[in-house]
Amino acid sequence: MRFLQTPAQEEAALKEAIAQALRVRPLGGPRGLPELVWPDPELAPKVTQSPVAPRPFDPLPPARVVVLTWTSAEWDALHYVFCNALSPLPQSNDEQPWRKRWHAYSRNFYRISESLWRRSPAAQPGRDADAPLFANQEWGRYCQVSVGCHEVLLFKCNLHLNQDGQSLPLLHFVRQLLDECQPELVLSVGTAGGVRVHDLLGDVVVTNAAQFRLNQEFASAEFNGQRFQSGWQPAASLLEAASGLLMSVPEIEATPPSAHFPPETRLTAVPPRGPAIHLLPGIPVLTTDFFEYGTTTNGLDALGCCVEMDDAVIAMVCHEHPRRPRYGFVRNLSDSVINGQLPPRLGTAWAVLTYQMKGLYTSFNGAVATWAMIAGEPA
Amino acid sequence: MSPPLDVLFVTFSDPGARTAASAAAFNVGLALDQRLKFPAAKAYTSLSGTFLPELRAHKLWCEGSGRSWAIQPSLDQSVGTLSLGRLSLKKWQGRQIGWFESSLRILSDGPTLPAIRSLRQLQSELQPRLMVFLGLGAGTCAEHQGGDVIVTTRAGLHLEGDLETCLRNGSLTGSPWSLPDFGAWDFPSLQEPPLLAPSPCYQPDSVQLLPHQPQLRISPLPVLTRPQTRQPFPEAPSPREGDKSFWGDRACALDLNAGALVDVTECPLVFVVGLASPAVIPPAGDAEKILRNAWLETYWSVFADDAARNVALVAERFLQHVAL
Repeated sequence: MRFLQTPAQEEAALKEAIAQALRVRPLGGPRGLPELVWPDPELAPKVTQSPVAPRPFDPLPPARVVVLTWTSAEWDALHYVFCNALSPLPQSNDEQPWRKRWHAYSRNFYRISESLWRRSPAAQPGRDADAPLFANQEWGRYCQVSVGCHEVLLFKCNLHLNQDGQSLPLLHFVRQLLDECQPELVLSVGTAGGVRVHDLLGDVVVTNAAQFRLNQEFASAEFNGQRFQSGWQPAASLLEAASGLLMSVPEIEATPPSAHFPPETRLTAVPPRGPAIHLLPGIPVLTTDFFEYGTTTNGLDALGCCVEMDDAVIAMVCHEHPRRPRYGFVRNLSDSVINGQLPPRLGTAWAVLTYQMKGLYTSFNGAVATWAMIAGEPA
Repeated sequence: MSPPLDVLFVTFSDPGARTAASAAAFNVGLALDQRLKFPAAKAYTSLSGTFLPELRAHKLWCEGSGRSWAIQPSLDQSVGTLSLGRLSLKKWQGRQIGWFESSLRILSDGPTLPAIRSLRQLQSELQPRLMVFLGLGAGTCAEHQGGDVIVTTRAGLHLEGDLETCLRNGSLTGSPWSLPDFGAWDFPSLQEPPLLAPSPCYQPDSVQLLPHQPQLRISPLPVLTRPQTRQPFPEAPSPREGDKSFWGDRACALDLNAGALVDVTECPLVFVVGLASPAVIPPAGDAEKILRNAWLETYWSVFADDAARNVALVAERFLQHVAL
């Protein structure tokens, strides 16, 4: 998760991103995504969940691997890569029939309702009156799949560290999820901002560590600054196969803002290579409670491998849970390192814009890398 | 009893959000003061009690809607008795002149637009022979450059968002009036910020324009007040004819407050607007509005001080040349 948006804003940005992508890149798959041809059909994801939906307040089913994802674009990409057989991802995002095929989960949701209601917009100016979570009164939705011999529960989570208030209901949710699913491995996957200057838009970084870097609502939290690392080692056996499935995600062309530049002036990205998956165990994801991005001058690369807004919470809960499941993070770079010479407002605008317009496509790469990590896990 | 006032300059105070743009809006007043050296201003509180209920109501609405984060309502800045602004009077080269800096603003004080009533009241009480609005705005056509100064005798309100349904929205004021010959101008040259690559793998990594010479432009078109609801800027006009945000055929500039004078009808008006930004080409797509506003803010941070200085220069020259 990269940016504070309401669900409606998220969907609007996604719609525009898809329209633009289809204009310039009408690939074989829906929404400008590439057609997926699995290198080994035996390892292709298979939907395993019952067509009969459980009740939303039933406990989650057990799974060896739990994959958490966060935003609409990330969810779309994850569905396309793992669950397209359940209900194909449509070309347009105006209708989302497939989302209803994922099971709703709202068990014990009432426990956090009051804390969400108590959020005061006056005390937190600039925010919407209600946490986005309130839109549908559920923790999120899930789908069960298998990858090779691994039973996997994919969960689209509606909670966010920086949107749900200081009671941090994400903590409660992750604990409950660990209690019910009893996974051996928890992967958090989604968009992130690049901090390493040679990483490109659409690259994927995979790590087993996360560190809090909180500067706003949770600046004084006792866990701020804490770093967590699990014993999980990212699997390298299917990296080559996965790399062949990745799509190139071109950067947005920079055009002049005024009529005073020579005609046809534009700055075009010339990436030196195709997208790649980087295994970086031990180098933490930086988890912030504000929209931060790496620049060529702010030195975030010395602290971690990318910046996002959820993962250290997952790491902290897994670390403290009696079962101590392993955990890892598969983060696609939805905005690459920003030129530190840009005025701050312009730098932020570029990072947000790139995330909004490219997040679906970089998330596709992230979903493919997630598949490679799961399929490559030992039996 | 004060002597009759020949010229009253009107500026507007900081919109409250701590950004380069808002600070610069205030700097028009500072720049004017640097040139004309007004004595200490006094609070203008005449009938201010009649404004309080609507300002309090708007402040409550802002707090309830979370809107106060971007644009602070004027009432926040007042302690004790509400001041509608600050007024300073002086004699300058045989003329009696005044400077009123309004605390009330179009974009911050709600749909009753109390700034309009306040300025009409001020005009009625002081009865100046001429009122001159000084402010900053955004250019509307391709030839407009940062630091240019637009002079016109017309202004209007073209509000959107929460203010769109205001009773006075759409009003125009001013009438043809012979502007003095300002003579030749030689403003200091300025330079647009370069187009910089957003990230390291772009080619080329930047394009820099040569410095340009700001111009004084007398326009028959009105300056239109069209603030953005959540930003301390006017809307960013496009320089391209045919774009839905092209204003070049209707307005000489877009600004934040000139339209507050729409009810001043009993004395001639002149609007002097420094361009803190050129017209900004809209990138494709609504999602890219964020980039356009970022460019607008960047331009304001680069040009606003110079534009304010140029406005004050024109104001001083205007005093020297205007025949009343």
